[in-house]
Order: sequence, then structure tokens, then C-alpha cells
Amino acid sequence: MAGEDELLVTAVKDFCEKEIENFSIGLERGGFTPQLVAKIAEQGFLALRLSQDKGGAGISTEAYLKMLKEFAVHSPSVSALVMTVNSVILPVLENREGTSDLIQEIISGKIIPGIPVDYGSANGKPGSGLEANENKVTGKLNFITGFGWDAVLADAGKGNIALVSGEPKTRSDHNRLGLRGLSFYSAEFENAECTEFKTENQVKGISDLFEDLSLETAAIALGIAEGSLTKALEYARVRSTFEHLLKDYQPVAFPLTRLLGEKEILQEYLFNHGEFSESEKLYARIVAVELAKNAARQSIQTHGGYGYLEDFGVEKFYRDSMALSVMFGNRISEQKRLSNLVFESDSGFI
Amino acid sequence: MDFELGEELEKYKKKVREFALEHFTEELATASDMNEKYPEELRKLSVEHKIMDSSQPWKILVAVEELCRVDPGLGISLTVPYFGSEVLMLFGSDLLKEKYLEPVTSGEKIMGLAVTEPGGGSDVAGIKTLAAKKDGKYILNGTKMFITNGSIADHFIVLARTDPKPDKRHHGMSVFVVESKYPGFSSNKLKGKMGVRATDTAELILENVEVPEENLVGEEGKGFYYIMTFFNISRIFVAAQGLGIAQGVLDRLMELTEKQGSEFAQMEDIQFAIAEIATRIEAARLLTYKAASYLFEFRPNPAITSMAKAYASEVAVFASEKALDVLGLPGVSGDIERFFRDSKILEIWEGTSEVEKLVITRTLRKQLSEGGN
Repeated sequence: MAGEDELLVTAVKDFCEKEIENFSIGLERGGFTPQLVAKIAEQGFLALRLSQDKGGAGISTEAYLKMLKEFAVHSPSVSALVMTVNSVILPVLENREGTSDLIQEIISGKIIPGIPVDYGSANGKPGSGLEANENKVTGKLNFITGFGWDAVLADAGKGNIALVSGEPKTRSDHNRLGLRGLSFYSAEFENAECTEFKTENQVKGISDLFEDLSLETAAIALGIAEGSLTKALEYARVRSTFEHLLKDYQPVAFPLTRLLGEKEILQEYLFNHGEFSESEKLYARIVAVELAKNAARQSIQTHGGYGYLEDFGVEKFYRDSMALSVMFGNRISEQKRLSNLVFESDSGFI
Repeated sequence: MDFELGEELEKYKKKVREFALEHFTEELATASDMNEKYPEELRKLSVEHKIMDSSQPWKILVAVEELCRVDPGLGISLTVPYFGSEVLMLFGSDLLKEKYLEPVTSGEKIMGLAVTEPGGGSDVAGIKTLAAKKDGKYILNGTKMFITNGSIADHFIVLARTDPKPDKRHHGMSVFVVESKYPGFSSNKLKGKMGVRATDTAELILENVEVPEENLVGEEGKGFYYIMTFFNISRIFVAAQGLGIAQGVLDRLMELTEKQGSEFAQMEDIQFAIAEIATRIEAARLLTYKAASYLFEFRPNPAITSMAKAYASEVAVFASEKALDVLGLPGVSGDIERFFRDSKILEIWEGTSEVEKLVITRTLRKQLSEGGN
């Protein structure tokens, strides 16, 4: 690991051990608090990718992915927050007029607008949309990341973005599966107050940026796998049953060590690769998410009944790996994109 | 070989399903899951409707399957008030049956089974709870973990060591009925389970609990055998839980697939997912019913029972993961995500899948050495 990257990862690790580990159950149960977001912002974690002239750190892709992974080892929810701000919210605002004050508020943790994640349905049709007109907005947004604030940032047609601050007409929570810190909900708006940010240029909207998250989600999945396996390996070393340590049993040791090997190989691929082509990004994402699910499932199994309890910090990885898979992507649409790239023609559509 | 349930069972199955569809409302299922609250009113209603009909074991099997199909948390909550009752049925005295079994079958009381300990897991022979005989009573000391109905049951079947230094690990254990109102008995409800949150789970603490001699179940020293006999029964009902969960997931996957429109429904990835789940459910059901047939004809087959338990549990996990995987967000906005969280415990409780596999192979090797096939 390059020296500078190592320092950044150590900073994440130290921060998580100090601020996240003791609050992880509270985060799972109640979501982010403004205090926690402020602490994350104080460390500069919400402006990792923003250029230095705009107050950000402007770190490399490789360093950024390593940091996302390290956050996910401790809390996939925190990692997803950092990814959402750095890879979606700030890039979408950066290229639009009148957003500089909002950007500063975001990177200082004073406000984190939610964004809808309903972009990756299998048949390629976004399930949500907004119509903005003279600072009023109407429409339904599905699976918004809550973050503890009511404001929502969403595509509003014609390449514009709307920051919706008005109360929704209806609201339903989807906060049971995983990444619970993000407090997902759906909301219907009717003439709700909003601020529109326009652009004359052809720049990416939120839905476009969502399709670009393959490497970031691969890094988070890698962190979930590492977090799951670390806990399982530690437990297997100390827990006895039938008069032997768990590690002594082949059905425990073999799957854990095989998964560890898969994790190491994926890590090498993700962190020492250089430039990624589109298909290589998708390879990483698809393989990493499957690995995260398998590692988390095996970790629960290794822990037995204790793995099913939130206190041991393992069950969240199982839920979060599935949430990462379905809420920050869609396997079928990803496989279709990958098939198209590999076959260099429309494929995998029947 | 008849693969049909028969008219009476089909009628009963329909009754149970209709009850669940009517009373397992999404509001109740969600609230019980969110608040980790046992649905006591629903239990009373199920008793009124005679949903758990113990007149024949096939009815219980079918009820477990149908209730879990509609909602695993609520379904299991209604089927576990009788948990451990088979130990009393098979090995209890008439006095114990009258005092502790009858009020449970009538729905007046709830019981539980306390075997697992904090350091034990599936290793039943490793338990440390002690039962010392003194002045015509047994004094119990120890801790039990992951006990279903732990903070709501009126009494428990408790496995404890009556011989602290047995010649073999599984010797010297006995089973007692312990009332939760006995002095020295306390429980801590376990909160923060990933799934089956409508069910009550607790840690039990036994601190110098005096248990009358007549509360010894069967013979002293035969506790391990009694509990293993019980597991050969209960594992079949866990398999039925797995069938119910997997079938419930398939029901929802089929329904949501249609709702997504024909373009979605015609994708072969979706069609293959449905086919794979349905095939596994069918295979698991055949295995479970075969295990049940052996058991209900009083010739239990531990290998088939463990195959059924391990496989049906695996199918439940597979189905819920697969359905979420192919559905994406529509699966999360419905209740499949709850089935996903609920299903994983099946591979752990009543003997982990790893333990079931050991039972399968050991039984097969024993059969081989005895000249069987």
C-alpha cells in the first residue's frame, strides 16, 4: 500500500474504532445522528473526491476505494453514506449553477440531502420520477436515503436537479433489510417546496451516476466480506464445542479460509489494477457482492445463535450485503450491461 | 405410494391458511417484527379457532407449514407455545401430564424447552447446569441460552446434570419441569435478533431453584436420550417451517413477477429462479413428508429426519436470497425481506446444519455396519 493511502486508511480505521464501534447498534436502530455526521465531516470524509480548490481532498480513486472498504469493515452504513456524498451528491451538484453554498453545507455535515436509489430495476425502467415547476415539485420518489434530514435531491427532468425541502404528502419506511443507518423511505410529493439547480451542459444526473458506482460498491462489498470473515476467524479461534475449538473442524475452517482466499484475490484486483474498463468494473462489482453475501452468511453460521443477535455485529453484514446488492444496483441489469460489453452486441435479454 | 394429503388434511390445511390470511395482517406482522413483541392476542385467537389441532401429528405439520407460509414470525409464535410437550407426552408421569401438559394443550398456559447453554450451542452433552438432590428435592443451578418462550412461558422442560462426573459426557443428565414462578428462576429477554422477532427468546438463570422430586421427567440419568428423541421429532417441524418460508417466498415472487409486467416475467433469469425455488421446495417437501411418515408410524429415521431439517432450512435461505436477488427493490418494499431475515435461523436452531450432516453420515455408517442399505 502506498504510504499516503496507508495513512488515509489508518485515519478511517482510527475514526471507526473511536466513533463508530461503540455506536454501531445505535446507528443500526436509529440511523445517523447530526452529531455523528458532523464528526464524519470534521475528518474531511465527505469531501474526499472534491477538488482541493473547492475545499476537498481530491484523493485518488485507489485511495478512495481503500477508504470505503475500511469504513465498511466497521459499518457498511457509514461507508454507503461516504460513497453517496462523494460519488453521487457532490458530483451531481458540482456542475450545476448556484450550488456552491449547498456544497459547503454538505461537506461540513450541516445537511446531507437524501437521494432516491430506485434506478436499477431489472427491466431498466426507473420506478420513480419528479416534475418540477417554479420551485414546486410533484411526484413519487422510491427508496430515498434518509440520513436524518428531510431534504431530498433528485433528478427533475431536462438535466436539472431539484432539492426538495417541502413535506411529503405520504411517506413509508423501508428500513428493515439493511444499511439501516441510511433510513430508507419512499415519499409522495404534491406541490412541495423545492430549489432547482439548472445546467446548460450535458452533465450526468443522479441516475447516470448510479450506474457508475460499480467500483465503490465493490469496495464496500469487500469491506463487508473482510468484516464478516475477521469476526468469524476470531470466534473460531476461541469458541469451543464438542471439546474442540471451532477452528479445528473442517466444515468451519475450510469455508472460512477459502472465502478469505477469494477476498484476498478480489482485493488485489480492486486495489492494484490501474484503470478499469467498464466490463472490469462490473466484474469487480458482481464478484464482490456475491463474496460479501457468502462471507456474511458463513460468518453467521460460524457464530451459531450468537451470530443471529445484533450484539455480535455479524448479522448486519448479512442484511447489508443483500441491501447493497439490491438497493445500490440490480444484478439482472448489471449482468445485461456486462453481457452487452462482452458480446459487443445486445445480449442477455431473453 | 400416495402423494396426496387426503380430504381431511386438505380441509384442515385450508382452514389454517384462511385463518393466517385473515389474521396475520401486514400491520401485525410489521409491528411484531419492529417491536419484538410476542402476539399474545393472536395466540389466544388461534386457540379459540383450534388452529393447532394435536389430534393427529400430520395436522400439526401442515399447520406449521401453512402458518409460516403467510408469516414466519407470527406462524412460529403460534406453534411454539407447545414447545417441548413431546418430552412430557413420551416420558412424563400421569401427574406431570395432568399438571403441565393439559393446560398447554388447552391453550391456558405456555411451555418451553431449556437445553442450550451459553457455552454449549449444539453440544448438548456439554451442558453445565447442575441438579443436586437434597432433602427430597432437586436444587438447580445454571444458565440456559436462546430459550424460545423464555420470558413468557409458565414452565420449562429443563435438561440438567444430576451426575457431575459421569463416565461418558452424555451420561448423567436428567430432565425436569421447572416453573417460572419458582424462587431463584429469572429470565432476560434477548433483544436484537435478526429475524423471527415476533417469537420470544430469552436467557434463563437458575439460582438455587428448588424443584420437587415429582417434577423429574422419566428416569434420572436418561435426560440426554429423552432430548435426542425430542430433537428427532422437533427437527421435522423445523423442516416444515423451512417449507412454509420457502413456499411463502415463492408465492410472493410469482405474484410480484406478474405485477412487474410481461417483459419482466418473460426474462429467463426470472423464470429459472422460479423453477429452481419450486423444484427445491418440492424435493424438500418429499423429504420432510418421508421423515414425518417414519416418525408418525413410530419408526423414526434420524438420517432422513436430519436430511429433511438441513435441506428444508437450506431451501428457505436459498429461496429468500434468490427472490430478493432477482426482484431487487420490489422485493424489499414487500415482506420478502422479512422472510430473508427469518429464514437464516433455521440453519442454526434445533441443531445446526453441520450437526445434521454428522447425524446423517453417522446413521448411514451405522446402518451399513448393521447390514442395512
